[in-house]
Amino acid sequence: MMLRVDHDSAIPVYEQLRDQMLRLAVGGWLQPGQRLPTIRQLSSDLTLAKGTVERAYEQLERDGVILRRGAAGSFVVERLPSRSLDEANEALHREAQRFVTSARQLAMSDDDILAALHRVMLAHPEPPAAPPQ
Amino acid sequence: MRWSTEPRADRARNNPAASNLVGADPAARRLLAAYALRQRAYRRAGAVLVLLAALTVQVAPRSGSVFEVRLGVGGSFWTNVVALVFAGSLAGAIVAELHHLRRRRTGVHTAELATRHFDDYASRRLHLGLWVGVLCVGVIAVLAAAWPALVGGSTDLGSESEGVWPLWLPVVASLLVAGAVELTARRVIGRPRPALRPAMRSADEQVRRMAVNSSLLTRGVALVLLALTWAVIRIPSEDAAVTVAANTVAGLVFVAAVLLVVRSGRRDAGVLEVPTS
Repeated sequence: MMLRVDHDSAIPVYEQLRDQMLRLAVGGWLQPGQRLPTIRQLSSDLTLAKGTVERAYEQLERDGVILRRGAAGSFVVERLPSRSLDEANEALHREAQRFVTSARQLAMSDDDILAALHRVMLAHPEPPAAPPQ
Repeated sequence: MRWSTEPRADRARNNPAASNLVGADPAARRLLAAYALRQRAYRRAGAVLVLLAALTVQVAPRSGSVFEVRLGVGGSFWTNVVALVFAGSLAGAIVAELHHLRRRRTGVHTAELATRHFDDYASRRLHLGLWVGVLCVGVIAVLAAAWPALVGGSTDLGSESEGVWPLWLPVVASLLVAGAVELTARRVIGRPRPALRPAMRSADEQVRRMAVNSSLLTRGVALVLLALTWAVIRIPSEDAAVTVAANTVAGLVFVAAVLLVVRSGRRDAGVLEVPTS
């Protein structure tokens, strides 16, 4: 699965990273016990400072989503805490609110909003297979 | 066999070998061919530059005498040339691998969550060969130093003033080569990779494997083997049988080093050259 960070976004990059990894874990794209990329690899691939990825991993560990085992690496926990799903839903709700607020400020109708959403969904089609749960 | 007259880059793009590696995707084949051509150009430039530098050093009088480069089996002219070409080619490969455009921290960047490990890319045999080779150079150097005490033979190991390299030099040289190869290979594997579509990801994987194995580890092992021949022929002995044995071993190791690089070069050429029937 893909991670995507926007350096120009108002949302801090470590928050973007944390939210996406949380969603991937809740959505089943990250398997329990799966090894995550090293901080060095992810910071290099996303052109981030190591501290930024470190901070995202720290928060995910605090949220009970991943386990960090020193030199052995970071792993997805075997059982996600129940609040992770609520938190992921809340994050999605916040994103939806932000999107609709922007659309309303631009005086877009419901149809325009749905059309815009549809265009983005077409650009990011649903994966062919559902993630294993 | 007749060779195509189409431009080399086009030939590389249409190469069935490249196609087998990354599928039929033209962009992926272009990426692989461009990488292979660039690597080859850097390796050749490195070899030529090192040869020219050695020639300059050799003809420049130093303290009234000619400075002599002695490498490889017996320090003969051709073994010197081979060692310098290998060293220059490795230096060129390292420069080519370390050079990449710095990406700016603006806009959108993507990455995959797949992990990348050294063992996924590097040939275990070559990697092991590199460090076992360094160990062998060290053992042979210690043996050569201790030889006179062991068999009561000649203690004349030569000195730098006589134009002979000191015994520790092959050990240091092989350690430097192995260290540079190891660090560069790890850097190649850790090089940034955005999220890519499957064909491009496959090409990227292939580029990393070629870089680590063909460009770096193969040449590193070849140079360490040359350092080994260098150490082996330094075993001093007044016994003709020991000298013959040492020279035979050194000769075989030298041939193995050359074959290793030639075979790797042929594999790379398969990606670039397209014969037409």
